[in-house]
Amino acid sequence: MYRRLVKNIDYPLVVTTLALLFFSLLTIGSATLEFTDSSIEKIQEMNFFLRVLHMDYYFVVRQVAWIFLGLAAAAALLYVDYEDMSRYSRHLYVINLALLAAVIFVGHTALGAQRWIYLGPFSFQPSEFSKLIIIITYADFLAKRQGRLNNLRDLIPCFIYIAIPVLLILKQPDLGTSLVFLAIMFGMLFVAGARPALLAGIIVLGLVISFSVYQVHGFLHRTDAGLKEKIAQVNRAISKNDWSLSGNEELRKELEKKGYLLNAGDLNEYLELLKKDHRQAEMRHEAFHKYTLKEYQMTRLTIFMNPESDLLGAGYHVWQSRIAIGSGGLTGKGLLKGTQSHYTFLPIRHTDFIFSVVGEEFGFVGVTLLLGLYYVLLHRGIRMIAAARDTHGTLLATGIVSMFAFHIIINIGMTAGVMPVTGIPLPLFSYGGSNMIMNLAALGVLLNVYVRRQKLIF
Amino acid sequence: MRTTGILIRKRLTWLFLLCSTAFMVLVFRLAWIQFVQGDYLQEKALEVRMRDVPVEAKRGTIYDRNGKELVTSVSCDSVYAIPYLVKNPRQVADQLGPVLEMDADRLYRILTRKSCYEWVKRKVKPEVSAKIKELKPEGIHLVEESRRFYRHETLAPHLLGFTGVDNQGLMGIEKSYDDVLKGRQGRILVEHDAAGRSVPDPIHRYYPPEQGNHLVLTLDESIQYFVERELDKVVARYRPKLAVAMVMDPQTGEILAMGNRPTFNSNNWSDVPRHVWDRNPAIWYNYEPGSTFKIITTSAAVSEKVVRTEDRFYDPGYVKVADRRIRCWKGGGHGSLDFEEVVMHSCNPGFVEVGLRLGRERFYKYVRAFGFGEKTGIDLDGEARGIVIKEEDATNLNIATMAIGQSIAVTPIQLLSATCALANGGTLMKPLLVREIRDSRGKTVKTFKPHPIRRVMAREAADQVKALLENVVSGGTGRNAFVEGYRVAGKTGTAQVVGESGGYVTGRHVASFTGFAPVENPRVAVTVMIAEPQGGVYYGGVVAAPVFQAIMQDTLHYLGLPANPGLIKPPGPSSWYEAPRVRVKVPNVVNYPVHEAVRILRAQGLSFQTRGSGSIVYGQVPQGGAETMNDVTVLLDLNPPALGGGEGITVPNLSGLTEKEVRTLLEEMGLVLDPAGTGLVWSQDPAPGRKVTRGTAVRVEFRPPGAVRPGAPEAAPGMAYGGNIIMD
Repeated sequence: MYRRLVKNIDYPLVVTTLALLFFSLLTIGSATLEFTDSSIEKIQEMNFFLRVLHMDYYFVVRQVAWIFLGLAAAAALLYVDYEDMSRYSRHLYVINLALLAAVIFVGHTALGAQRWIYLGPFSFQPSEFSKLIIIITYADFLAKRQGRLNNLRDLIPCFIYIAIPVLLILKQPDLGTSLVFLAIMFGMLFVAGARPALLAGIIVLGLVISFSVYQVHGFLHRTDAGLKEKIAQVNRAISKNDWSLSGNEELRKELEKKGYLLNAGDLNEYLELLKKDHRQAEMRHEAFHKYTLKEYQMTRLTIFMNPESDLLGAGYHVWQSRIAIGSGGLTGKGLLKGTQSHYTFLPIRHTDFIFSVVGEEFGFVGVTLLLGLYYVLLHRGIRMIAAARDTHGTLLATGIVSMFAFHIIINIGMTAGVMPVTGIPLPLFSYGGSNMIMNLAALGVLLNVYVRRQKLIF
Repeated sequence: MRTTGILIRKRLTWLFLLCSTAFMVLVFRLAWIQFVQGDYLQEKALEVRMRDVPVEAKRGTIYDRNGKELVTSVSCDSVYAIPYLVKNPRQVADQLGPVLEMDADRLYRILTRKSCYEWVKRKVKPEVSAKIKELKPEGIHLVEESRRFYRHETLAPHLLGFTGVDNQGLMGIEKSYDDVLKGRQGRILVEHDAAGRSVPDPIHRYYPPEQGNHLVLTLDESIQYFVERELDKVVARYRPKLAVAMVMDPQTGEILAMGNRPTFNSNNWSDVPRHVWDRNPAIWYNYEPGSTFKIITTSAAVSEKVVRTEDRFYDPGYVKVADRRIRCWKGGGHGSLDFEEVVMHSCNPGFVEVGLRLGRERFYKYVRAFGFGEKTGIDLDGEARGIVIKEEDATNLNIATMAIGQSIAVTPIQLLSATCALANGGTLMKPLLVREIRDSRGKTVKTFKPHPIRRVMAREAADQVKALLENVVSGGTGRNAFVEGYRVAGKTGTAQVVGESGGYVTGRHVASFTGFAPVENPRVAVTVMIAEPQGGVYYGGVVAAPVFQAIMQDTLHYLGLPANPGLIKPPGPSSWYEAPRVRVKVPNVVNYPVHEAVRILRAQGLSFQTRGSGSIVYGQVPQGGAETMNDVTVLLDLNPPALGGGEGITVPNLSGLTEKEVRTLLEEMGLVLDPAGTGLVWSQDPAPGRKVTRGTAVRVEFRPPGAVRPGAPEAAPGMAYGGNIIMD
């Protein structure tokens, strides 16, 4: 049994993974180093290997620990036959929901979201593990419904199955992870044989709804802000006794059009009217945010299109990241030589925005190398899906590959400014325990499917 | 085994293609950022970690019309701190506090701020910066900035204005031409991290500032001196609340001089109360013009032909309009007189009748045409419009009082522009302050051409009015304005001050005089306004006309306009005075300042002609001591003799001059003043006429006036005050 595992394991995948992990540790060690004293000059003059020794090892050491935990989890999951896992799928699903619900009640809040649960000295993010659990349980769920996914009525239970955990995660709020769940769902449904037209229709419908919600918000927001600005202008004119509105041509024209006279009485009357209108607009605006996303979330999702509109606010991350990557050029500034990271301009640079550090310090060569490694990873993953011995295995592998692909594309797209900022980490690369353990465990499950590609004959 | 294997493979292929496409997009995007936008973003990366330290641009120089520097920028040091480099802020604060004259605690707070750059004190005195250079405290540095330097301190301060600590124009020309003068700020970039801490061995970048453009004003430094000198005398004699004297070129509208009292020192403007520097009375002060406004009434009446010169008027001492008696200034009235005499003697009832003959519409047409009730458009902030009763609200009584310059308010600049319009034959000109803008290399960027606003009246009518006004000076109320050798036209004015509550205030008057010369081709127009003179004398003809006369005389001489020796002040009205031909001894005026020389010659009854431009007489023909007839014209050579090898400079005769005049004179000649005492020149060493080398110090002792001036006669004949009081 053990020998068969070793013989059938996919070594390109393992090597790629190890290369990614090594690259990751190097980048984390560099990214977390801040310079405020003159040691930087000395370090920057050293050769590459000496510079490696001068990195910040605080996070590296921890990440190594997570990697070992993750490898252990992967080994464990590799050893158990995936068929056996599905036997507990109902239990797993319930435990998953319980954990996610627990986050809402006993979770620890950080960075504006409640995502962490403390277990003694350790904290972990149930939503990370939830991804893997949902893949395992959903694979079982779909495998049983194979061939019965051709119309909308068949699909509804499949959606509800995912919707419950997604709603719990949205409550945290964690939009990024919710989107990962949707990506996993669509990926698995597609491979499970659901009608592509149906899936595409649903996705398009979702996009249309999102777009209209965005437009409605834009309208509400503009009305609110516009009235607020106008009130300020009128107030300014009143406080300056500028009844003829000599300083504001536009406002004067508007008032004249509405039949107001340019005197103190009419101006104050107009102000009252504006205030009333504004109260209404504000209420509508607030009600909208109560039922959909918060204002800052909407801004964060759309700012990537024009980060320059708010360089010091919502656009700061995106812009600093773009500067970091762009200033790297072909070969980068070199390890520990990035100014965006070491002078702390680039925020959360060892987790969500680690790719920008790669871009700055290793340049285009570095980022293509990294993308290449991920490409190999995904390519091997897809090969493994095709090689699975049964539908269940196929779906399990599909879920894992979908998850990886979505994470990689969205995260890198985010740092490169072509995707919204959703705050999901770069798998096997970003610093973070829960994520690392889960990703390695997921690779363990993928290999599990692969090593058992031939039906066992006892 | 798998029944749907083919389907799955197909779908996997799709999935794979989707991933591959996404990866391709990412690679392209990254390539775009890193190669196409790379340079730009690299620059940005540099910029985000650079802190801007602004470097002031050198502000442009302001020249007078002859290219003499009026305002320049001189460098001075500013002190800044790099707080994180100050290891021991307490000690540094205690050490520097007394040097910088700053509170040590405040200094301590500045030095402990979390930033990489803090101003400690801007534009400190040289001795302070020398002291700091000597102490060299850690983290405290000096940077060179520039400070505005007004060369002549109190020369036309309201007009030139001043700047704030960042060299931003706050008042006057400095403000209205701030954009021209200020140039573009440069900057030093210093590298720092996201928290604002300076990084080790930071990159410095220097973007040099762009120097501001220079201005060439229409102002003439020398004429401005005449104005300031005369205003000083007015203040000493009458202590008025406000005094304004302005000189303008009637042909072009160029302002040649503009002086105000009270005044201030542009270099230390903040030392005087706010109301002294925050408004320019010449363009801001609204007052009732009184009889000077009769120029407008006369122009309107002559243009509209409602009156002929020989029309007769009868003045019983008052005139009744709408149940109101308007009194003539002369008790008992002028009796019967023709229009020429009405103007000459400024007879109120006569003008009231002329005003009523004109009627509202025709009168208002001219009031508006001459620019009253609207801004003249001079390039200075804070101009007033004057107050003119709305035409539709004006009653006959209003017209009657406006005809004699009451119930209307004007600004001095409006009155001067109107005077110029008449002088140049009927065209209202926009007052000009700036002739040229030059860039920092001296190339002319922009020239300001004379700007006619509108035609006000016909030339023939203007000539008639000018003749009438010439009579005012030659034989009427304005005789104190007579400048010997030139034909001068003008009009006196005395008005009561309108109090805060609206009525006239007894004992508070505005004396004014406005006029121009030479009548045949006016080159200079002067308006003098003296508000609330103290000491009992308040008539325009007594208080303002002599000021006009002095400014006009010096200006005409300075401009080198040939004097006509036949024109001598008539002793009485309407008669020409022929000086008796006698033999006189020509006094020696070599090395005297021009205006002193002129006074001395006039005292002897001699006329003169100047040659060249300058303010010192370097030679004269006939020589001093020669006996001649008194109808001889003395030629004064103002051109300094070519400086030959060992010849050196001839020390001028300084007697009777003020310290300021002496300083300028000596500076011009390349000598240095070593003053002692205050007041007017009492004695000097070396003596006048001695040859010295350039840069020699001339020790001059000043004593308060009152003591007899040695070497110069007390006053020229034309300067008689009191005695024969000519009223308005």
